[in-house]
Amino acid sequence: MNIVEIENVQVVFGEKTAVSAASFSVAAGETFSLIGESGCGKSTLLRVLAGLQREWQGRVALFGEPVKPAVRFQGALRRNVQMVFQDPYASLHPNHTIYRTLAEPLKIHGETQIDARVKTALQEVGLSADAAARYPHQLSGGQRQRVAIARALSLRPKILLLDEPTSALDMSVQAEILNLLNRLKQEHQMTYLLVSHDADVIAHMSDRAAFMAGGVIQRFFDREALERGEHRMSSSPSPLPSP
Amino acid sequence: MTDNNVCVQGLNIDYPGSRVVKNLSFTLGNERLALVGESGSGKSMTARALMGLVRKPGVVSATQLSVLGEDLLTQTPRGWRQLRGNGIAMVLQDPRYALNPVKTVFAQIEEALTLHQRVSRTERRDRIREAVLAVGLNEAVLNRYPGELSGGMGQRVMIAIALINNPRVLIADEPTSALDARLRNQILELLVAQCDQRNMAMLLISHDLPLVAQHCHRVLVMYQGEKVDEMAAGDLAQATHPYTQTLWTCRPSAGTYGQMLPTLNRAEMNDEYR
Repeated sequence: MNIVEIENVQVVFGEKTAVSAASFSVAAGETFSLIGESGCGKSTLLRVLAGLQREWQGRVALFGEPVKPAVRFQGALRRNVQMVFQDPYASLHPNHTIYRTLAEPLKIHGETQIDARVKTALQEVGLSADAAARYPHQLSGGQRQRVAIARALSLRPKILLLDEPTSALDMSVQAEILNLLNRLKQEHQMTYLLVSHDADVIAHMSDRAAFMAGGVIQRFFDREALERGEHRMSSSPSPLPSP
Repeated sequence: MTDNNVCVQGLNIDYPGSRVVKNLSFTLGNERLALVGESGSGKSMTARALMGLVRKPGVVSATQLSVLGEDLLTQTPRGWRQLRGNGIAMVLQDPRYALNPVKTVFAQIEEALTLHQRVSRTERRDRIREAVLAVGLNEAVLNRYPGELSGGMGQRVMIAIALINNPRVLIADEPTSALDARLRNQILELLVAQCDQRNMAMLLISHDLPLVAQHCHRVLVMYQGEKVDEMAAGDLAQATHPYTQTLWTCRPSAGTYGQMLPTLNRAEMNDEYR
């Protein structure tokens, strides 16, 4: 079953068309990736699916139910679609302890036993329970990204949207976060939508991928194409401004 | 390689409550040396010590710390001004923060030149033009402001500023980590080409071991302020130290699909280095 289906989606910011005529679908349990340069519209597309970018045209369906533009996500959808942002330095509230950051979504959704749930959420991502009392600036970049993942996962979403989850991290910390994501995906049967500009990360993580440029999805890659490294060709260096 | 451009013996850098670089020794001849480690491993502080940029309350101490035969431990402010830029220059990590946002590219390159050399206005203009052409930009960028440049162009401008006085040693502190994957190789190739052309030594700082290994002769691996491994770049595949091995193999690829990537056993590492 396709749990994400988008057809002819267009996003316009004033003069600029950020995404035009984007269509793809993602099956349950898959890891689908968008690859492209900065500014190609891949993050905008992810924000449409997260319900953060509500001005768009076209057709979007999540879990078989159509989503309307200009309408906030309601009910179960708000729990089932979660997002991890690019920059772990910017995505956590600096004045809130980790406990407060993690407890807030649970409270909003009327969960019980919040203390225990926060503790498990931290353990799942390999942080000790005493991290809850800390503030974001007391954690390293990798630890912060773990907190961001813990926050997204604490509501047991069915779709996790990952916007460059490792591009702000060291190579060795990146390996730890990618392992964590793959382990949690198996444990909780989630579907991942990953955005990245790193061809190696895409090849490691994805079942299928799409290459975007100038707001348009240029082509799709299946696993064999990714193995052959075809997605590298499309992201090969563009000519320099001529001297 | 008898003459050492940089000589570091027993370097310690202390901050109140912690020692961020511990007893580090290395030499840099006429070659390209990579300094590799995670954030917090002290690699950037080492570079800053070589440039005299360790801010208070940081304290630098060493048995020997010299660049081009000049002793850095007893350097006067005047001596520092002559050494920086001329003898040793540095390229910083992120062009969005390191360039002055309210000055044009031309003014910023010119500033580096006038601070160090007395040259006539026409000659300055010629040299600045040559410098931007050498880093693969066209002359039109000279009148632009840093905000109007892309990340890759900004990084090229910073390299042009560092190279304008023909330094003998270039320190590049994570010159590619603010860039797209596809731009990284371009910038590193540019740095390597410039080093060869100018017969310049380079200290390249990075957290991406496989990337720098392609571009350097020797590699020095740091963990929590200490040197844990040092070897020729060609021997990395046979590295025996567990930390070097992990850094070497943790890069994801199509071949690692569906597998767990090797990661560090941090508890074990910390026992060993406490």
